[in-house]
Amino acid sequence: MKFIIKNSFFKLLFLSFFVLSSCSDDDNQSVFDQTPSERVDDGINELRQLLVSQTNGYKAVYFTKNDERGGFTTFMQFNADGTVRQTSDFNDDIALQNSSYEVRLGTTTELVFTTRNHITKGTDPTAVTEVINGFPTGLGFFGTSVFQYFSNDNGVIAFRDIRNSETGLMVLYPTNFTDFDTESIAAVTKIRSQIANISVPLGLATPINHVLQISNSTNTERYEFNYDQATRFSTSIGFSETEINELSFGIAYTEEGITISPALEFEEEAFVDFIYDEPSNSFISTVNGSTVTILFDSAPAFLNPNDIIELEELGPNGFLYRRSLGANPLTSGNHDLLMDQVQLAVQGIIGPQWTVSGYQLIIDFESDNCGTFLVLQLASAAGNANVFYCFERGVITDSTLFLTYLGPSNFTFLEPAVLPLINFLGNSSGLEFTRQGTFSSDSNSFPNLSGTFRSLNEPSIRVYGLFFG
Amino acid sequence: MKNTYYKLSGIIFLLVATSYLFTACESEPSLKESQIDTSTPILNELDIWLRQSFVSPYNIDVQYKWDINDTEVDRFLHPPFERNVRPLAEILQTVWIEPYNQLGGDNFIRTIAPREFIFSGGFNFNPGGNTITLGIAEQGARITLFNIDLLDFGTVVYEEDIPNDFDVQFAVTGPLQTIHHEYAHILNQIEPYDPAFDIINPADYTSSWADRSNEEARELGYISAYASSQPREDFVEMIAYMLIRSATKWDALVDGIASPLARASIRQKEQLIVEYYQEKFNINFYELRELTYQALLEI
Repeated sequence: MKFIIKNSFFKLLFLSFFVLSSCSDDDNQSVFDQTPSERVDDGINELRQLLVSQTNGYKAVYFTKNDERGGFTTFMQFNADGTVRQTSDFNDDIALQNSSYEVRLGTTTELVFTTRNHITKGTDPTAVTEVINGFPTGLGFFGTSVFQYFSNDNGVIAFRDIRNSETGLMVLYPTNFTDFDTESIAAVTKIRSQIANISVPLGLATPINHVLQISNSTNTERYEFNYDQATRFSTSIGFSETEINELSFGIAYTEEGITISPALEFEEEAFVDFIYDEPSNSFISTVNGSTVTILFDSAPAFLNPNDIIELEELGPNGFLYRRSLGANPLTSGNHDLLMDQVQLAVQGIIGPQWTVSGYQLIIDFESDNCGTFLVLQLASAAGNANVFYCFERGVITDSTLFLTYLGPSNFTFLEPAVLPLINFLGNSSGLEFTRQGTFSSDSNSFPNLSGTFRSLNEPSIRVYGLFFG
Repeated sequence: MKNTYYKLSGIIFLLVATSYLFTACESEPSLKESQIDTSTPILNELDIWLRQSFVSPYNIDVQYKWDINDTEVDRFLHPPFERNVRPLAEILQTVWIEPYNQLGGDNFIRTIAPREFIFSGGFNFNPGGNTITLGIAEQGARITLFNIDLLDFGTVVYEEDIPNDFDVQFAVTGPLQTIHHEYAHILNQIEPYDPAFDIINPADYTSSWADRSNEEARELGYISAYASSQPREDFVEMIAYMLIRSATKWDALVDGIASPLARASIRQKEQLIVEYYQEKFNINFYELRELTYQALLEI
């Protein structure tokens, strides 16, 4: 027993020696030569100095969420007193405004726009609304006012958004202006002029197809380019025999054209910056001999053979064209000129009080007994009238619809006035049909299926409308 | 003898240990000045005014500079224009703080108040589409007010007088009702109200309150659609509705309800609220209403 005690005592003494001597001077090595708080301060001061170092400010290109929204350009002039002066291309309010900013430590060093200015339009939910459960709900551009400092590459500063860490990116480029106020407003004005260049014009003589075309020495691919001006986001659809391809990216306007995010990749080339070519009214990006062009074309991006099959399956459901439903660029100006001619001629016969409000086309692929017919809709203050014209059953040959005119079924005396429209639909070269998803115009949107008919005899005549079925 | 040996050994051990304790860590640096930056942040005129008008007298911080952590991070919200901050803050002073202090004592708001107001510039749309959040009261410590950039500070309108109830949110009555609503929550968190209130007309409380119009809710005995969501919201909605209206305006609203039963329910709730203010805070509610309404007219 005593031995055990004595032995334990020396064990304790031995252990105590190690415990106490473990406080020896062996932990002087540090990974950093500054304390954490000093390093935090340095990070904050580094960004502050960078921001104010450009006395004529930065051009910020900000993609808020590049899988759903496009990009915006804001010119920012940072001051040492915590204020920042801005203008931007978010909307037509481009007046310079002052607000506050701070550089803080959050999850990392962060640039925070603490009061409202142009950049905070990126978080304004009312900028883009969507009807959810029957109520207009504000969604906005999914942006932020808090930007995480990501990198500094020779004065070009990159920031990320913690909420959209993979899809949100803001990059600040020195402006190299000599007069921030004057030159930033001029630059924004020029940048906003690109909006008209990429928007589809209404009422042109020939039909307009917005096409994205990718070509290199061996291949050419064409996509139907769909661009939403409100969100600045585009989705382009391509069609081959085996699959439907989709290209999606956000668009930011630049003084020279547009820049897109994410980059469009084609056979190992990445396309980002597009230059606007005024003579061809197109945006062109060229990388190593490959070219991507966003253009307006009289021919569709592609013809989907399934479209005409769907038309046949629709059967005798009415196709309606009516001006009061609103304008869509898929209806060509020459079609509307034709309708003006018809109206004038009709008025010449039955009086100026009558107007042609639209027409319906019912196509029956099984019956020749006037199952296929055109209904011209006339309106006046006294009442409305429908004029019927019969066709043989619809025939589809080589993906083309052929309608053969038989004659009027009422108001025979109006036939000469309506002949331009009858000849468009019954032209000997046939009609090309395309599906266009749900109906939309500059004033209405309906869930009805929509489509176009184009004369192959006179390709400048095309009509866009909706189906009742 | 052996005991002496062990005692001696123990003393030697303690001496050795003590010498290590005092010498082993001698190379550590001595304490220096704090490395944390505690300097005063840049303050503009508005910051200084807010400190003088709210922080010093009431220990209330009015935060208008954006901090993403002050609001729900999954909402897309933005800071307000600086020019809209002081007008709303002055309304807080005249229509909320001063009437309560006048009747409850100079320390009333200093004692029972949120310690922080957060001002947010735009609407706070709720997922699901049919509602927006006008304000939030959190644990009695913070009130967040939204859409302050959309306010017309010179307009006083009431939902019962306009075709679209939502348009109230563009007038000064919108945020004022929200302030009274949220502050009443804070009072409830300090002093619970009489549970008898909850059982006046419990049958028609519903989580689908947004499917009701205010007029439909009133015919069921609730002063607003939101009041019909649950009793505690009913209680504070009643307070908010009364404090932004004159006695005449309030009576007209209640007397305009067709259902006698609904009118009776609302009058019974009104009585419990009057008693609540008197018993818990020694405040005459009708005097308070007169003061808040007069202040509203003077904005």
